[in-house]
Amino acid sequence: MAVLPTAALFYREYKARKNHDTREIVAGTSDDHRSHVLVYLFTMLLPFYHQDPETCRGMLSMILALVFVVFLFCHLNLHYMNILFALRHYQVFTITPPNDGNPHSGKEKFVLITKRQCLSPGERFHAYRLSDAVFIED
Amino acid sequence: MLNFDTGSVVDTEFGVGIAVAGQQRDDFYHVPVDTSVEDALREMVEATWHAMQQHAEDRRQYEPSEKHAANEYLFLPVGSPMVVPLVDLHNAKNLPTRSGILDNTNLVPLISCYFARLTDAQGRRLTALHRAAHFKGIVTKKLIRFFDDTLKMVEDNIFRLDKDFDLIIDSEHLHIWRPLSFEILGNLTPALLAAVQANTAIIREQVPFVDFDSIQHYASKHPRAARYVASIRTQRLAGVDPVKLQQLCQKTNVEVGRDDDGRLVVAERHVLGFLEVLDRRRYEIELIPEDPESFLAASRRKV
Repeated sequence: MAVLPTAALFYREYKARKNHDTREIVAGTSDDHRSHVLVYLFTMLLPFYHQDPETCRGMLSMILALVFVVFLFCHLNLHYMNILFALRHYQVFTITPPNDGNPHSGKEKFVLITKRQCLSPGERFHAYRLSDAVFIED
Repeated sequence: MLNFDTGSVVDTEFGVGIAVAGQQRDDFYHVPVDTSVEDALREMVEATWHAMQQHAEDRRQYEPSEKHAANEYLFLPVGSPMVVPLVDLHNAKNLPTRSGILDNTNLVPLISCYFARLTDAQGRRLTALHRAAHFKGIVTKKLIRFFDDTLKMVEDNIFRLDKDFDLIIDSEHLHIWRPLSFEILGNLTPALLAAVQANTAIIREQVPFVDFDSIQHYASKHPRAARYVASIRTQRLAGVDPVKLQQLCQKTNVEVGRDDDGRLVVAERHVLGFLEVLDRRRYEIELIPEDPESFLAASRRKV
């Protein structure tokens, strides 16, 4: 539960850097989601609570716990959240694009993983694409 | 000159335009590509700019009323109302990313163009577009290619990039290499029809001795006339002499009259001819004395 998502995330980062899969993005308003690390830790630690898998009841509660973890990751869009990023001093921001009146400018929020402490509205930066809505900046 | 350094590109984005049903505009999406495609896109930009430079001496401003060759180096300033949809793409921030859009066989036929957006080391942007005629032309066909020493069927969707782009946009100008593609990509005809009122208002200020009401009414429904109006707007109009204008109309078989206020009035069936006169397209030449000839210039250049 901890290794596979981490491996997938770091493989995606490796591929993005190798393919130079970057793009220029412009910040509008941004929210610092440092607190999501706590949710991440909670979901990561959940499978470690002790249950005896040899009993039907124990096996069922373990399966339910795993399903709950998967649900939390999907529902809270936590696939980009990883303790290793935090250890590397990355911050996670949810960015709302600037409202510039241009009909072609993106309207969808996206996540930026960056070492910056804060983001100013209108700030431009180049970031690697981890998914269509998650980017990482050096 | 191009206001961009093609030698210091730090970012290359690829994307496609999708025609929106029922609307005369496209939606544009960023599509992630790998470095080999990015290299190809940069080569296309350089090839386009190189081709334009071969015709740099003939460079002139685009006029919507002019008949153009397939390839001509024309330009328009980015502030021109004729380039608004394309400049919007150039200036768009955080284009939405759709990594799987080319796998959607329902959307592929709706692809109207593909584009590259480049950023140089100074943060300047360059956008280049090409109509998608060839790009999606072979998407549904099975192709053969060499694997080891045998030919095999290729089942994947395959898209083809061209050798250059139809137009390039930098921060100052829209550089046109294929005028017809520019007109289609920029949805020029509906834009010109919509701009008739604004354009005639500007012309009216400089040529107050002409009744433009009937002209505006006609041009707002006829694309050819709308093109003439847009072109006349950029012509030198200050100082046009009403008597000489009327004389040229008579010589070139355009009937004009005068209303009670003394303004020139044009009947609907002569509006196009009158606009051609005002756009310097109808002219008279008298090489043989007392046998003047009148002509209409589909394409003309000031000498």
